[in-house]
Amino acid sequence: MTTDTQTPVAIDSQIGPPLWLLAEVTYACPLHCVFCFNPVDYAHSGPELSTADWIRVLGEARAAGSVQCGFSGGEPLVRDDLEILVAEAHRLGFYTNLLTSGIGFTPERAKALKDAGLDHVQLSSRTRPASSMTFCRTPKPLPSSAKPPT
Amino acid sequence: MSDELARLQTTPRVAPMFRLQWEEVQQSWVLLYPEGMVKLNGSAGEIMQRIDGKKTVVQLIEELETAFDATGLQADVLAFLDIAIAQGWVKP
Repeated sequence: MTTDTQTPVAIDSQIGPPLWLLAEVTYACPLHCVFCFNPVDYAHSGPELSTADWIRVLGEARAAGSVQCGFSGGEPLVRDDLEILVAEAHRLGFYTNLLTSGIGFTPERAKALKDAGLDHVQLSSRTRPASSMTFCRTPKPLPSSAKPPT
Repeated sequence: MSDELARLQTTPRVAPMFRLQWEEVQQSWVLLYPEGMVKLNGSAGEIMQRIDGKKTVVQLIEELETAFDATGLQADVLAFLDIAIAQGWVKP
């Protein structure tokens, strides 16, 4: 059997716009969770995009049809221009989401972000001591001695 | 009938968690909410864009009938509102 590798693959001309922009605004994070996709080699991760660059990216994504913007990282609250970026995303018509560990999420920043137009917060409960995490979570985490099911 | 008459005087509003807007790229009205989007069809978009928490249902119907030079839209509008309220998009 032969295969004609030159035949173009039919591409659906009705492919929709990229609906989600996941803006990983920083790799910096006060936590170092073992399961995180965040890079650990910060020395070679390069500089972060500037405020102006992110504003340009937000505009380009919006023009392409993105409607949801998730501010993530790293820990996005590490950036002190997050309120500016959220305000711009909101102004452009994004539904704005903050994906955070909550570290640095003071009442003052929460209010400032809400005033900037933040629509939604996803708060991960990763905290010490373990009793605090147990308090926050359902189902309860397994004890460290537990074996994974086989 | 009194229930329906009362209903016509309610002033529905878009539910707080939702953001309703025209999407140029999609050429449609959409409702945005956490992790999701509802793409409204033409009729739903025409109804939803007029819902502002101030107009009564009967005013919405009159406005639509004027805009589209039509009559007898009440049943369709009420049927859509039933769906929109059941889905949580609209608060009665």
